[in-house]
Amino acid sequence: MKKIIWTGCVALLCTVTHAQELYVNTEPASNMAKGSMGFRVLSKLYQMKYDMSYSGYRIEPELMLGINRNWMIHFAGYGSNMYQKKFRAEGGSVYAKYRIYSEDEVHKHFRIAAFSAIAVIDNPTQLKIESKMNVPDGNGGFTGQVYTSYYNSDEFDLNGNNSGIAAGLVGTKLVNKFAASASVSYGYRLNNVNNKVGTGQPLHAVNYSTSLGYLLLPRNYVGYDQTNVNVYVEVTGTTFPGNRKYYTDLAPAVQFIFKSIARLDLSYRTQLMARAQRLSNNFFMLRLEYNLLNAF
Amino acid sequence: MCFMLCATATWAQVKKVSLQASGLTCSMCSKAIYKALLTVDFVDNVDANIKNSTFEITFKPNADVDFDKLKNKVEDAGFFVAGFWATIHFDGLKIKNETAVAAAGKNLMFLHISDQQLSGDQTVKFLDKGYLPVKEYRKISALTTKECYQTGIADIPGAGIAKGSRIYHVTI
Repeated sequence: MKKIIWTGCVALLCTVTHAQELYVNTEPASNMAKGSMGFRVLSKLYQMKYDMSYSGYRIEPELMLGINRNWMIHFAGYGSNMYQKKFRAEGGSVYAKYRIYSEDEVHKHFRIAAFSAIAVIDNPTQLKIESKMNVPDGNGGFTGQVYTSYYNSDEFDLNGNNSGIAAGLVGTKLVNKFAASASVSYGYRLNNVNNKVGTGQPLHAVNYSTSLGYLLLPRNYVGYDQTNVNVYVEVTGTTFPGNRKYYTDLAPAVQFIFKSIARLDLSYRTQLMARAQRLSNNFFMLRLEYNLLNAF
Repeated sequence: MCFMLCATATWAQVKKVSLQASGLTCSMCSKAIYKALLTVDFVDNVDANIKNSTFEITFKPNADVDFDKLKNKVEDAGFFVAGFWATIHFDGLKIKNETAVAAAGKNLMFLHISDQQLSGDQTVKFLDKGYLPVKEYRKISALTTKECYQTGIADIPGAGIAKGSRIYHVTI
């Protein structure tokens, strides 16, 4: 099944080819303009698997800098209530991208970039879950008893979940209103700040993504103040070579761009298939972004 | 090797530049170029056409227009120049094919032209590396023996042209 989906994604990439590339769930190969600065606030709403009645949320403030025409860097912070009932800061990450190849024509380009990320996160690596159940007390009545269980997650997610490093390549093709992108990266799980890698948690991860985008509106450009609407379909996945576990997600998204400077992204990401234990199989995402050109 | 026969020095002025950028479609990208061009000290105004990725640039009075600075701004924004045209006012400038002349404070070498005299407002197209698509540049490069076309640097001094100075290759 996994093979079929992956083949389908590659086929889609080859036939549909290209879209708007301001992807919501992944990064394109293109960089920010030199001297530009971007601010993002991202919020994700999760349905937690260990307690289906509980909704977790994560907030991610992010600062992006266009260092020069080839280098850009992101600094992100994370906070959530996913590992405990109370919201708390989880840590941060740094992401850098270097454009290594460009082939540009009018209204077209093909670019390849190398990227790397490091995340330092203070989360448990094993979730302790206490549940209270009423059990017979032996006298015809019931008494409350607390049961403790442990929930292990295989998930490799440098965006707030676990500490680690990653490095990979991304290629993006843009033709007129269409863009397509594909990425692959290797990730290595590091100990979280106060918790070592859990028993059975995979150390090595291979992450991949395929993204397609289309500029829906405006049909004709007349000025920078027109609101742009982009639609995206993205497939992201991770496989763990060590234990052959994997998960693959599908993420449709819609994006509004205001005055060619601010963005509103909405996305729903859901699991297509998996053979791995996860904290959550799906989430809603809302992101606001504002860019300052010639900021430094 | 560039053989520099310099025409009689004449008065000339760059009136405007039109450039087309490559590699972009959306208005966010276009705006990044537009804003970058506006930061150039000698630029007075930029008129952008998002649909065609073109930018018409006018300059402050008596400005010394640095073409490379404009090209670099497009590249710093993350894109490339696919076409670059300068409208220059000439006052009887005699030009010959593959012969450098000093005009508008710049060193220009005209390629693919017949001998002629330029008067009034004329638009010249830039042929240098970075001023047109790579494929076009390679095609022209294969046809010219002029070393300065590869380097962009005047390799033999001529009247009004210092050896080692920037030279632009244009056509009309």
